[in-house]
Amino acid sequence: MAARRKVAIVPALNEAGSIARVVEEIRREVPGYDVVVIDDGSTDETAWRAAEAGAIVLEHPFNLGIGGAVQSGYRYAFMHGYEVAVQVDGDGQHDPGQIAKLEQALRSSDADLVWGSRFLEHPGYEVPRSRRSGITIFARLLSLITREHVSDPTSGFRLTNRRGIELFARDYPHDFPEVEAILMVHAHDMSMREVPVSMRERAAGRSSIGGHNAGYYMVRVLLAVFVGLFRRRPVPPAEDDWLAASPSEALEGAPR
Amino acid sequence: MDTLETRVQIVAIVASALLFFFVMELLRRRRLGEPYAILWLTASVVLLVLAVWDDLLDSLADLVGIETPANALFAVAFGFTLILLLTFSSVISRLSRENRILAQEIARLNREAQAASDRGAGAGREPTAPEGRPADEARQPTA
Repeated sequence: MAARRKVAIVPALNEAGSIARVVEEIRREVPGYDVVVIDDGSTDETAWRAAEAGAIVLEHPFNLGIGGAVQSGYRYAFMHGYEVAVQVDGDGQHDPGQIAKLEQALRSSDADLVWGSRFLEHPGYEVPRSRRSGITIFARLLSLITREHVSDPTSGFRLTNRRGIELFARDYPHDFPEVEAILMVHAHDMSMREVPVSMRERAAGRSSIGGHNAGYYMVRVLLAVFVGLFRRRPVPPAEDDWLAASPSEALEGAPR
Repeated sequence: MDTLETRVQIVAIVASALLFFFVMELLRRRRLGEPYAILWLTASVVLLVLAVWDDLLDSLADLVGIETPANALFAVAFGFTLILLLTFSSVISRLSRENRILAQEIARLNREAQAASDRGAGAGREPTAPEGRPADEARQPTA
């Protein structure tokens, strides 16, 4: 297992219309990356199209939500000894041409997690006002807690090293994971960095935030953020820990 | 119109405050997921508010025609209990459906892993049940 070190994790739910193009584009732009598509219980041909385009496909037998899908990817990355993992949405919103930029940022700094922000250099990116204000609130809050400049905490375009892969394989937030994941990284004394990127309009599919769920999303994440402040280390209790339960897999990629 | 008796009021305030902090503690220790915590927290906050501002409870009792405010408080608590129970029924239904699908998937994967190891067996692997015959060509992969 010395050959492949880098993996792109692509969560997808009913993205048959865009998934093949996303996979092909990743393979073309960053040929060093294996592409793992997590089909999170799609009812369309997402899995088949992703496999056709050359991705490794993990098919969930039913929908687990975005957090569960992404964590499947990190668990795969952890088990198979990958050193770098990048998350790319299956809807075509993230530009694979900018993965190299994220990787460069990770290598040139001591960061364990880097993510692409739409708002650093491209304030022109249009998001609905309601979403924008929610993002701003979380951005302020996270900047305050982490003492880092956070402008786009809901961005799912993120790249991490082996430490991040291990952390996320062990524990990843469930329903609206991006904001909480940043807090987890902070709580584990890992460093993070935002990188300016441009994003596209989503080619197909729908956003997980916004609409009538926006209020619930805010309450839910604010509660998680607040409670998270009172946890010493936000990792699950030992008996729930699958890594502790399978030491052989845990050892497989770890020592260097 | 009665108002809430002071002892009842104190008990109600203490009980709902205890519930609130207990739920927060469960959440902190990761013994409770956020979606359920939000339900429980809402229940405890509403009960606490009604117990503290008994004027509000009085007008609520008046509005729906309950004579004693304590009963109105009880009715609200009962309402939340019903909502929580219904939520659990719905969650349990979903979990059993997902559990069934998982069992079916594991059965299928077991079968496919078995078939794959049978196919690759030939050389030095431990023979499994129908192994040992020279009729390797007879064993075709299903599907």
